[in-house]
Amino acid sequence: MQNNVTNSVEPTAWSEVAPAQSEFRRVIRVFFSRKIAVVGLVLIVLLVITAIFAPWLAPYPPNDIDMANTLAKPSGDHWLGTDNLGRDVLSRIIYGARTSLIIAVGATAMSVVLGEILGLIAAYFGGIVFQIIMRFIDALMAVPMLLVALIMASLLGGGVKNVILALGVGMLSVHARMMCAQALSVKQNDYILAARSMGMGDMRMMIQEIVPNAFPALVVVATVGLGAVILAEAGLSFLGVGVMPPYPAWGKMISDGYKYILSNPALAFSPGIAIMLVVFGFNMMGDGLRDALDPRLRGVV
Amino acid sequence: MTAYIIRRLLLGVIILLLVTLLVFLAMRLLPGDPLMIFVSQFQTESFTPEQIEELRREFGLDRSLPMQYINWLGDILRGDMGKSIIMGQDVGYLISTRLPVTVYFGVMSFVVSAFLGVIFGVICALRRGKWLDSVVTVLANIGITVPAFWIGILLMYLFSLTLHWLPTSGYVAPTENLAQSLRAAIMPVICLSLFSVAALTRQTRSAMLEVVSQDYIRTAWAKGLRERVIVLRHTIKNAMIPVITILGLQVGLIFGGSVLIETVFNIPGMGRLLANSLFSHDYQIVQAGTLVIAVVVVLSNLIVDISYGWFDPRIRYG
Repeated sequence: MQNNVTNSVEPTAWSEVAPAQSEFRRVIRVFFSRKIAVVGLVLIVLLVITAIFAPWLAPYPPNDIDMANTLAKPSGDHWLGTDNLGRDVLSRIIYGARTSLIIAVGATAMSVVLGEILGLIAAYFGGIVFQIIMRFIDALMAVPMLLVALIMASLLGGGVKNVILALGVGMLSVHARMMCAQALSVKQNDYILAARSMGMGDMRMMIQEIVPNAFPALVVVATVGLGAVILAEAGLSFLGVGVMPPYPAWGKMISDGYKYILSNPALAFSPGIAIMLVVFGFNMMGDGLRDALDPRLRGVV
Repeated sequence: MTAYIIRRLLLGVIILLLVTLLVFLAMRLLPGDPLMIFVSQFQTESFTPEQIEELRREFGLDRSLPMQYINWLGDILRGDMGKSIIMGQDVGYLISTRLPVTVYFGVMSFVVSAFLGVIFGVICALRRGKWLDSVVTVLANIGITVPAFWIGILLMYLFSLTLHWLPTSGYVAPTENLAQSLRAAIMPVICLSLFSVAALTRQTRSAMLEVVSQDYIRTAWAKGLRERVIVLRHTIKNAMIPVITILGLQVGLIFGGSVLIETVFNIPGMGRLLANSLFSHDYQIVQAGTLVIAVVVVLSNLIVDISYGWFDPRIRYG
């Protein structure tokens, strides 16, 4: 296999795997042999822990206004200082992890489910069904994803639910196209012909044969998609159509902090670092999963 | 080939029609009445219900949805993009003043991304496993994770507010003062191209490594070709197909990014026009602006598909 060469893993990692070893254990082994993928995994685990245990980790409640102590410089009491309303920046970043994670998971779940269904139906039935669905997907793709999400979010109004909806629609085309390509290639296999000759129905064929075989690609694209959603959400919040105040969101914190950049630069800088770490985590995890699950996706994903 | 291009152009027209339909439906079916926003702007005047009805008729908002769509589409085909409800100006005129600004920054960013991305990727592939490769690969992995608008704020803080080397904001027409215009463009272009440079570096590196292991490269070495010829003529050319695909995607991404970057650097381009129009529900501008961007994206996709044949003559267009 040529892919060895592009792999930064030692070639032994997957050319000399004992044939008896289960697929699952092989995937785990390849994934964990890539240090950078493990770093990604650790970052994401930290994100999840931060989001779940935010009330215990944050030194202050995220929305506690302290007008006597606004725009404080970083100090022992407030490690990253306070914002223009005297709210503790570190606490807001910690709570912001919740917002980011909820939106990332929500929007990705929505776009994956809808996108995969559309892509699957298009590829499976082909012909006019394929043409109609994929031309609409092409149309969605002709408009930049951030603009699609921005149009949706500004019309629906902000708030977590609407942002999820907006970003879900924005990411839809990526997943539909991916699934369509995967399903078209899986359809070529002999086992599909075999299943059909045994009289398997359309529904069962799609769910039992095509989806499992396209699954590795979906996992990889969805993982990288989580990072993309977080970046886009930050952009929406920055423009002011994201999550509604006082709910803490990293993008909004950057745009608020931007106004006070001369009095406390940490206000605008620190949420950006949080975004970077999380997106880096998802991307590296995605790369690791891709190398472990299906290295042929390199270049596609 | 000509037949292929004609077929692709037709397909492009269909896609653009669907874009108009989707944007139109989104603007009309989702909540928010542009007329009410228009009316509420004038706090000193109050409108009688009759006057509101009058305005509604004037902007054609009293007709049925399909009729509104058909009218709008017909106007667009005649080159009339309508009149902005909120700004009261001709949408075609507004776009024609804003689009060149975005294109100015966009083209610079695109060229910078293509140039640097490919160079970095090739260098990484040729020095695989060396420290230079590791450093650039790590930077590229970071480059695809940073929010561009945040980098913009960071750069502005550092180079404008602290060091006073560059102007804080944005746009000087290149016809007015080219040197100043380029100076002001440095930071916006860095922000707009950062993601693209990083993504292209990653893609070029992995495509190059894929090609380097092919039999024909070994053959080239075996017959004693010089390294320069092997790299330039055989490796890079064959590695370009996936790179071109990613490069084509950058057009849309740069347009999307311009919404944020033009806000940060206070640049009067399409991105900011669209963002502002969205907030004021100025649907005529949003519809026309989105369509213009979609035209650019569809055309660039077509160019990408045609260029595949140049890089790999085995690709036939049937």
